[in-house]
Amino acid sequence: MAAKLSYQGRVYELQDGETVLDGLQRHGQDVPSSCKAGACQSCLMQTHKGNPGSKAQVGLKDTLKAQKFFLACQCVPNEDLNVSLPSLADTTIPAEIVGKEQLCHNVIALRLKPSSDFTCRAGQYINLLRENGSVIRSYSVANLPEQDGVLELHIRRIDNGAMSVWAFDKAEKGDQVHVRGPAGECFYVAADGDQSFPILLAGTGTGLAPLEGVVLDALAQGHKGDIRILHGALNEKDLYHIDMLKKLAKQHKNLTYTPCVLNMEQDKPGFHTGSLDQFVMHIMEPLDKTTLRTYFCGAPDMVNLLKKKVFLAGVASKNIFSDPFIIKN
Amino acid sequence: MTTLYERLGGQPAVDAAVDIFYRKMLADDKVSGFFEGTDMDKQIAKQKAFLTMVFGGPNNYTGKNMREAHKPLVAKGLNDSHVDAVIEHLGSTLKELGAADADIAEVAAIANGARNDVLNR
Repeated sequence: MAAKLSYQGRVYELQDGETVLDGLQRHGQDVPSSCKAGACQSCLMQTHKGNPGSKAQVGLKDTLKAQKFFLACQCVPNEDLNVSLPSLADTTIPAEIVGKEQLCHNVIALRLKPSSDFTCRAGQYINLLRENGSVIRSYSVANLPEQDGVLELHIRRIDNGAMSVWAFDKAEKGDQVHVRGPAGECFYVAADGDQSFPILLAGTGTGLAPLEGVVLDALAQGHKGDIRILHGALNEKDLYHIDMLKKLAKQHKNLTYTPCVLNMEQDKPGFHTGSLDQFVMHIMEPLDKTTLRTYFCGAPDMVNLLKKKVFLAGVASKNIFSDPFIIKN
Repeated sequence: MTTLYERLGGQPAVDAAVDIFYRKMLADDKVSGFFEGTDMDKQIAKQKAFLTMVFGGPNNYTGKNMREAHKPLVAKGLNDSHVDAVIEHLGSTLKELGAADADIAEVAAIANGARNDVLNR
């Protein structure tokens, strides 16, 4: 017997095994959602009666769990629920755009200042909301928020993207948005107080954002081991922050940065020409695989390929970190 | 009298075995195809549950969910030779970790006991 859902004054019957999100969308209700895998948290809802089940609350902050918030895409309830979309006031913090900068032809950096304390680790992702929460997208934090008091997000322009086109064409300093989160396990932690292990980070596109966050955090915490960061792109024009990362690598002896371009007309000093996955394996060669930590972010096919390759080469699964990357209009 | 699970080392042994075991599976062309396109983190979690079961540890496996879980794989051609390969990798994993032959045989017997459920027979 499938559960019944009360939502906005009406009752909907779920089909056997159907999630709350699918059930509401099947009935034409417009519930925000994105990854449908329990990662992005765009489909956050709250129940005022009944239990959503623990699987629907994986990854949520304890404060949200206690208030019976849950992820609609992961919730196949065993009992009747009375659900609502979260109010902005309950789950988000207003933030002001304090900076906007073009990083390359299709990426901008947006800098946001939350109106009150917003605790988040560099490399984690947050939800960015506009239009009173009707448009929600996830972006990684590329800077050290506790140091800067602002959140830096890298936003790639997606054709007809409800958030990215606005961010490129309309957003300006002083505009108000909302932020929610954070989530994700792609951040730096010392290993039982040890900071001598090597770190290898590789990403494509704006997958660089969380990687930059991890590198900045590792350096700020005084990481001693080697850090190798690689940014892959199809063409040179898709790369960004080249000068910033080169400068950072000059300032820190244990850090190297290599931009990798697949389609380069001719080899260029300081750049690697060729595929990112092969270069990752090459860079990894001299590093101690038993302690190596790897961070991969960006295009899902590349991330999955890299995870598998380094795992087969001997990197422990618990030391392979990545962010699910979702591309949505 | 210790249980098989205790003799093998319990949860820490499962954690140590899972990477070795899953790496053997991914590197074996006979069975690696069944893991194409699956999320590695989820796979690792599933392998841990599987190893806990065949190590004789606490688990939630039932014949029914074993059947359900493997139905799509049977449709893709999962057969006895693949179960044999899994049991072989399981044995060599345990050998690498220094388990006694008698314990390895017991693990293989538990894994073999799930064969008909896995193959939906």
